Amino acid sequence: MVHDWVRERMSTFLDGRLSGNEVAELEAHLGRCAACRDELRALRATRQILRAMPMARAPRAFTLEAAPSRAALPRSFFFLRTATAMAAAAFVALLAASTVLPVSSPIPASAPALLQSRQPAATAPVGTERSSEAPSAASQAAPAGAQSKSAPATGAASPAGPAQPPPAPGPSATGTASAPAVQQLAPSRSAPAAADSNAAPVKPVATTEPSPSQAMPGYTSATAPGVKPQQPSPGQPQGSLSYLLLPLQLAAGALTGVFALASGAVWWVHRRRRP
Amino acid sequence: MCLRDWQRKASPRAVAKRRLCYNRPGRKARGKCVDEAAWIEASKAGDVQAFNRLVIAHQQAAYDLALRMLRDENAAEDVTQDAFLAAFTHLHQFRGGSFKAWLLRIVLNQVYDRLRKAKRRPAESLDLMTYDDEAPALQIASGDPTPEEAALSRELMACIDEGLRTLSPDQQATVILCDVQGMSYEEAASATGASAGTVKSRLSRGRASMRGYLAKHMELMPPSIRHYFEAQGKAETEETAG
Repeated sequence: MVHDWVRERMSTFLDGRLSGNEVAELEAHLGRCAACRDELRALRATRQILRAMPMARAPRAFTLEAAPSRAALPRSFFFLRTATAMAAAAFVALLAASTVLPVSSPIPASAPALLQSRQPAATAPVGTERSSEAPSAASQAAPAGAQSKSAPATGAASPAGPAQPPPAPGPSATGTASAPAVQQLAPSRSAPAAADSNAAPVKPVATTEPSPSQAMPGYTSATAPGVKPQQPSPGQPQGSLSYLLLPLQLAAGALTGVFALASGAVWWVHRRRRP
Repeated sequence: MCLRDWQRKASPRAVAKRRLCYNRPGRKARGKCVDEAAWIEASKAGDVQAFNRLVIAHQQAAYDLALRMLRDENAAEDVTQDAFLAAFTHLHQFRGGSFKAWLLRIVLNQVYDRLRKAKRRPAESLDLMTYDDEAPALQIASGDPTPEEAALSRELMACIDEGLRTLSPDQQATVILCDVQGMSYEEAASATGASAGTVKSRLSRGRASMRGYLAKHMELMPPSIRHYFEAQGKAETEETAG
């Protein structure tokens, strides 16, 4: 019976690639084991036969007559390849821009204020009253309400009045939450039309029921004449910017795919036609 | 002293110098020493004539590998020509080492592509490689073979090709490169894209499979080596009987 460890080393042994210790060990074993010796002889004969095989003669010379030129590829391929690269670069840049800008949710930053605008007109004075009671809380809650998406606005309003009922889901909760924001919007009531352009995604809501809270504070204060421009909070303008980035990203991604597919198709057709 | 023995004993630097300085399209043809590195550099600069010298030096090895793997002369010709075209186009990617191994790797990649396509479309089966009467006879024993021996050796060559066909493509390529073409483990590793240990293992398994296949066709063997297989066959028979 041929030993497995010998069988594994026989081929390497025949090629002279075993180490000195392994060779000594193998030769000692071969002196004792006749089956392994026969196996080694047969393997050596196989190797000898394989090495005696003549190499096939090349039927012709494979020399090149001239250097193959790259101009064989159509010009459209290079145009499409460049266009693919540019579209991909634009897509990556837009993607990077959307990650740098913190707000990217489809609900705009002024959502609590907009929800408040759906309330009956009576809720607006309540908001103003409450804001007059806690002016310091109002100034703190305005940026927080703008940055938050929906729920954090209620949390931001809670320190304004300890006697207030706990925030509950529904119109009343949003009404109390947006009260400080309404106070911030007070100077901008004179220019609601200018705000419409910035609040484009929620335009139907804003036009059906115009209210002071439909405007975005950062933009309205800047456009209204005679009003001191309000410092925009970090999240406010970026929310609408990221809103604009989304279709651009989609367009760049789609263009990248289309150009890549077209250049691939041109290359494939060219390769098929090549003799 | 044969080349393999010399390579074993010589310093690595001398072996590297020898590899750069040879001109032998096959193992048997030997010519004057030429500087292959100079041809490669000239070819990189766009000199087609210098590249054609490389083609002539290696076309037999490339065609032999393609033919043994594909078993179709037309496909082997196409693959060899495409491989040389690709080699000229991508010569700037050659980073030194054995040019033959780099070239044969291109050939092998194209062969694997063809085999994959053939597997997807089994209707286009590859033809068997046949040996015509002008093919050189397998010369294991010294001396000129008689016509009977020559005919027998052609049958043996066909039998060996059949045996190679039973191996997996990786083992087949390794056996062809190391045994038929006489490449070292390192060159074969470079040509197949595997490690030297993997080459060693594939070669060991491939040789063992070939030994088993040839043992079943002992009648085709020359008498000088037939008894090795007979002795081993007897041992196996006793083992199975016991």
